[in-house]
Amino acid sequence: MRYLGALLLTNLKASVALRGAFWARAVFMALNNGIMLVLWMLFFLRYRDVNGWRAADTVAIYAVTATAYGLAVILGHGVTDLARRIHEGGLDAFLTQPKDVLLQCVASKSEASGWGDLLSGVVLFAVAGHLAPATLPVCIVTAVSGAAIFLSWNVMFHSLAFWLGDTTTVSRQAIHFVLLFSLYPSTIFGGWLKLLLFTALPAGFIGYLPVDLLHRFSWGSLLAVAAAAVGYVALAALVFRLGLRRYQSGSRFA
Amino acid sequence: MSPAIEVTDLRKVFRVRERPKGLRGTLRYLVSPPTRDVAAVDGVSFRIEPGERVAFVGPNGAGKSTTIKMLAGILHPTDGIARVLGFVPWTERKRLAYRIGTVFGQRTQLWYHLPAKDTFALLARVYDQDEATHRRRLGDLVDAFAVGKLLDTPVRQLSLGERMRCEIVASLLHAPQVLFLDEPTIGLDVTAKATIRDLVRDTSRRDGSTVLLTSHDTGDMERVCDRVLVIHDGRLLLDRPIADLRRTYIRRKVVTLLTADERISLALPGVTVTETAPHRTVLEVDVEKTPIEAVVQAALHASRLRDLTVEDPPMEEIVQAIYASAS
Repeated sequence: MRYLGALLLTNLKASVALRGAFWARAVFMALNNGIMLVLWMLFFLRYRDVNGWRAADTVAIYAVTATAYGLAVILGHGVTDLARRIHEGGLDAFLTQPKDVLLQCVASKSEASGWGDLLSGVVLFAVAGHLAPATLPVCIVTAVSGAAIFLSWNVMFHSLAFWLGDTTTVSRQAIHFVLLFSLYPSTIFGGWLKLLLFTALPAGFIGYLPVDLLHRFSWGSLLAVAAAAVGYVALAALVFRLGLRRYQSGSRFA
Repeated sequence: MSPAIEVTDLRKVFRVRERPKGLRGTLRYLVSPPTRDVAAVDGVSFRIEPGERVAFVGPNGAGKSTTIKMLAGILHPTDGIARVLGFVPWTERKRLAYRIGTVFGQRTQLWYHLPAKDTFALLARVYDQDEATHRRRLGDLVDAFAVGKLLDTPVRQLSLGERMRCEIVASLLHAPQVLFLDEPTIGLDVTAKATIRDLVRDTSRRDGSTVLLTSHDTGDMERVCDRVLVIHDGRLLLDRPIADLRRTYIRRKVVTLLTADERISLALPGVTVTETAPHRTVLEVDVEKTPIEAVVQAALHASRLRDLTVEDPPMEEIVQAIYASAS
């Protein structure tokens, strides 16, 4: 734990080292989120709901997703370098240290725009009245589990680099795909598509289920969200571990 | 005494994807690329005793970095056995990592935007060092490597030589028993190279640590190591004390003189002129017959010197000579 604390502290220090860039990224991300939400509010002024999905649900889904994504990129933006490191031999330095390689790599970088996401998320939680003692624990659990799912999804796609070469672009597209589906009103999806959002795509566990929990708490849903996070983390760690055996350290023979 | 490093018949085969020529070949490459196996390390065996400083040299692509990466636990071998301090590197990586230090010349373990002292503080946690031990060890290394003034400067603002000194401090913080250095002087200027070589040699002498250094710079092995392993095409070509190598293969130096006079003539045993141009003379010197110092003194008597460089023969030439004599 002392190691993890020191790693996160170093990571955060590095992200604020360039002060101007830090503020610009954080502020612009908060503005970006604000603009998107305003567009949704304009939509809901004209149409009261989408299959029962209302403005309050959109505020809640933005709150949960922005907080989760913000946490993920603040704490684990190193994951975005994973495929390139695998492809070019950038894991060497981590492999010669006596700590978990994946953890070191993921936590080796922090993205300042995450603070903008986190701030927007917390403000939206407050606006929606979810920071009350009764719902605050749900906000925390869903944000943390959402961050874990975002990171795991990224790790899985980046780890494909062990087999396919540099998968950075594919991984970026994959995470945007999940982010997109996490933010859309889940009532527009049905049947197979909904099933997809809770299986192959983890978006249902990041956006839809947490919003449901905030409005209609049930222990079953809370457990499902937490279990999904643990499951995705375990799966990502397994894929990475299997791939690591194929690591060729950027050898020119690879 | 058990060896620091013991390697038996170590092999590493990489599967290479080959890109065929032409449009058809490119389409075939996309669907099912043809492959062939290349042995980067092909049955290498050696033993290094504790405290030895060994140079692992060879031309580019000889297999030296691949070997060192297997010994550091980074790569799994295709075949063979290796033990470093009694540990099998690729199966006991984490336990071994507490006891070894690594420097890869072209990669950094320092946090780029932060001062080096922040990386050093994190490394104390990585190696589970207590505060007092860390402070004492860091203090010693900061003095030895003269990096006190660099500690608060972000790594991105350091020169390559300064960064490399900090890299080596980082790799020595946990007092490793074995130090792997992969091209530690690559890209450095003459002064920085000399500093790094002296520091590595002196630290190893003081700590009693074993050094395995890869390089294709003959100066690195001459100034740091006592023994040299020459590798070529994945096979060990030579395992000798450095003094032997100096007597047989690296006794020649190339001296370039830039003089005020158009021509200069030096009649010294073992000195031959290999190239002449107005104001510029290139000599090949057999240092066993005439030391460099004597050549410089003779040149100073013969003309006014504007500039002078002394170079080792390139590693490729040495390996070629060894290869020729071996076959």
